[in-house]
Amino acid sequence: MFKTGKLLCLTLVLVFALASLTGCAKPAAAPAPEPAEAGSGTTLEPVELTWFFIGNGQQEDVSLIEEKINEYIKDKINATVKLQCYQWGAEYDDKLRQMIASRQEFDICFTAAWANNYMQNAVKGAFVPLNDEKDLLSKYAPKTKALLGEDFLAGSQIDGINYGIPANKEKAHSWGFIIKKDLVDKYGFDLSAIKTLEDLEPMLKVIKEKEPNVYGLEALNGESPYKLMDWDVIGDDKCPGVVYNDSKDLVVFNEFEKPETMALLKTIRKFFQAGYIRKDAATVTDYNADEAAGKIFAATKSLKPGKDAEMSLTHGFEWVQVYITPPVISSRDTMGSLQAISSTSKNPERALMFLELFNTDPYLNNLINFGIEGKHYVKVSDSVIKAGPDQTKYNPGTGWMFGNQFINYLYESEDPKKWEQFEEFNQQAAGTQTLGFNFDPSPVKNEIAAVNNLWDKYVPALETGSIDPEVNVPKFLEELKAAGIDKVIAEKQEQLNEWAEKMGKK
Amino acid sequence: MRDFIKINRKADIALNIVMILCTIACVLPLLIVFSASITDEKTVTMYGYSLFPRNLSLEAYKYIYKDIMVILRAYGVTVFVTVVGSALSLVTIALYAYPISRKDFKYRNVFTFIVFLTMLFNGGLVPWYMVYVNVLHIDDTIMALILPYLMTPLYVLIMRTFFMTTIPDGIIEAARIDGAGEFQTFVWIVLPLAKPVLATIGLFNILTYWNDWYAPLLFINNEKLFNLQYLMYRVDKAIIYLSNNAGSINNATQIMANLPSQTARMAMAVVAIGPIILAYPFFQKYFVEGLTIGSIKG
Repeated sequence: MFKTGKLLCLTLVLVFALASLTGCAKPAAAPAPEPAEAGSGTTLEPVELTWFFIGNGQQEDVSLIEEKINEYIKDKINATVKLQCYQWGAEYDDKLRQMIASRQEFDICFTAAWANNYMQNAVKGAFVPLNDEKDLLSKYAPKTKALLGEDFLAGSQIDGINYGIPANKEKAHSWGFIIKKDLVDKYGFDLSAIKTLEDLEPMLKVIKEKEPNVYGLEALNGESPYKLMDWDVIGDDKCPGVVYNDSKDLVVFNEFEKPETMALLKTIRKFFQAGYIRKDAATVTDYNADEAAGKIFAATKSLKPGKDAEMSLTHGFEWVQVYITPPVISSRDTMGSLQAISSTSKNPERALMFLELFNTDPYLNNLINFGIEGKHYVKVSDSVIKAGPDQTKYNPGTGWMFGNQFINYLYESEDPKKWEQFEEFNQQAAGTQTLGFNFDPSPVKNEIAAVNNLWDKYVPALETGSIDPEVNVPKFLEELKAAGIDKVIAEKQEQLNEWAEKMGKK
Repeated sequence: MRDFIKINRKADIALNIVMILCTIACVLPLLIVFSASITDEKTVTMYGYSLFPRNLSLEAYKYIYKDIMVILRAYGVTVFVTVVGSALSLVTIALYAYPISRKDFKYRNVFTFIVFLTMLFNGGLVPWYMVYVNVLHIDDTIMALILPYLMTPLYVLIMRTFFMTTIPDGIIEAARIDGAGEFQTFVWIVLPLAKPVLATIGLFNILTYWNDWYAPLLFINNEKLFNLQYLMYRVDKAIIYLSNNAGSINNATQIMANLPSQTARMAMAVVAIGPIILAYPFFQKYFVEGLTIGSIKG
């Protein structure tokens, strides 16, 4: 009896050890089959492509849209598409993580720095490399490649290789304020005077005195006025160690040691104490309720042309926007929205052909973005639309995810020049000095995990003004030191130097 | 009663106060949720939650009534999975626990060890996922909501211990002498005696299935198979996610406006509490019974 038990135990241990090994083993990228002639639809075998993306879950009329798409693309690339939209949050991230880990077969998925982690998956081999020696991108999606431009593509490269196709949209970000227009008009505020956070103070004072039901300034963790510092963050958002956007010497530093950080945090603290920021700001997650109820006078937002119009459309009252930081292209923008092809896909080249069509063909693109004409939307003029009778049944509302915004229709209420403004905004923007550099956190993984915990402990409270920065920033710095932040920053610097040398920047 | 349960009057009062406080701590949040669900949305945003609704409004219930088909279907899924799942799970666990409780079963240690080992070491998330998706191919079916929780090692061990300690070998032997087969003994002798443990494990199972959102998160794509908890879970998660990533999703505000409002989510929570609250009084009877049986036998 005893012997059987021992033997069994040993076998089991072996089995489990093997199972865990195969579970973690890095999957080899599937070999791409020999590409068929591009463009000549007649020689292509019919295939089905599955496409996973993020949104508010499957839309009611999605099968009608699929039908229309399939009808349209059949002659062109002889493929059918299956759309699968998952809910924001854990649903998309967790499902995709399991599918990728278990090597489930699918073709296209949405990925970004903030959802279905682009970097990690690309490094793991989950996505098909697009411009390695096979150069699938030039072969099957030349127009998309030209559309996006080398510079923008470089932003999402990992060691010079693209693993996803970024959406063609606003390429930069600019932090600034969204301000409620009726209150501006009522008290005759001069918005052109706002150049810094400090400049808001006199207005906030008036609001506090005259509008007891309105919070002067919205401060959320994640989108607080602290974002106005607009650091070029190296790696994880929740870990100090940044460079200046226009940094020439590429020196990585701890941003919480800088006097300008302290100055800004002190201003936020002052606003908090004066009652301009709600008392429980550090823990509020559902900010939509406040904004929709018109309880906010000003909020810090990542801006782009027409953000105010989009928000006004949603809330039914008017907002205006004020840019504070200059537009900058950071890797957050270049990796903000991509479509990648899974390395488990049986037909990567067909998937790419579909994406090419989708990025360049206005009919197909608008079909996916807005639905069927006369049903989900009604045309006002050639490129202007309004809501159709069945809009509630298909309205993903995520144009920034679906390919090429410049060929999208515009709603009646939007600025007809929106895409020209986008173009202008993109041209004004300068790239950060580290664009194209990707930090590999694995050598200092444990330190970063510890730092992330400290970040959660201090930063939400600091950036909403809930605690005194003069007392707590030194404490934070001290704890960071103990957690090994110096090692993390040194690692960031070392990798950045290596990269800069390779790119001829240093 | 007074005669043998004597409690000092002061202690009695103190204990009652403690119990009352505990009860309030449990009931108050429920009342606040209920009150928020029948309050006007704007009022909740302006003044926060309160125990007594300030401005009565049934808007939230009207909102969820619009989606009544979705909610009813989710209800159906939850009830079906809970009833079928709990019953199946109880049968599976009892059928495993009984043999390994019998001293005359030769390999009982081996089988106990197999169950016990999975408590200490498990295969991890990815292999677990792969078994259901790549081996059994039950993803996107109702079985994916039932199978993963069918066998819980801890419950097997609890039940085994119960069988071993409360059911004397003599009874089983007597049954055998009277001509009962193994199966008859199990069904007619052992199970009736094991009611308390069956009720306890049954309640655990019911709670597991009723409150589960993880299996649908991983395995279900078809929105018709979403259960009630998951329906709520994904809305909540979506809101947190959208606000954390508001900088990256540049129309997060618009997207959030399409999600159910605070009061609608509260109303959903109220609707979801429904039948599960009724499960407790039913099982309480068995808990009390279990305690008495235990005390008589010493």
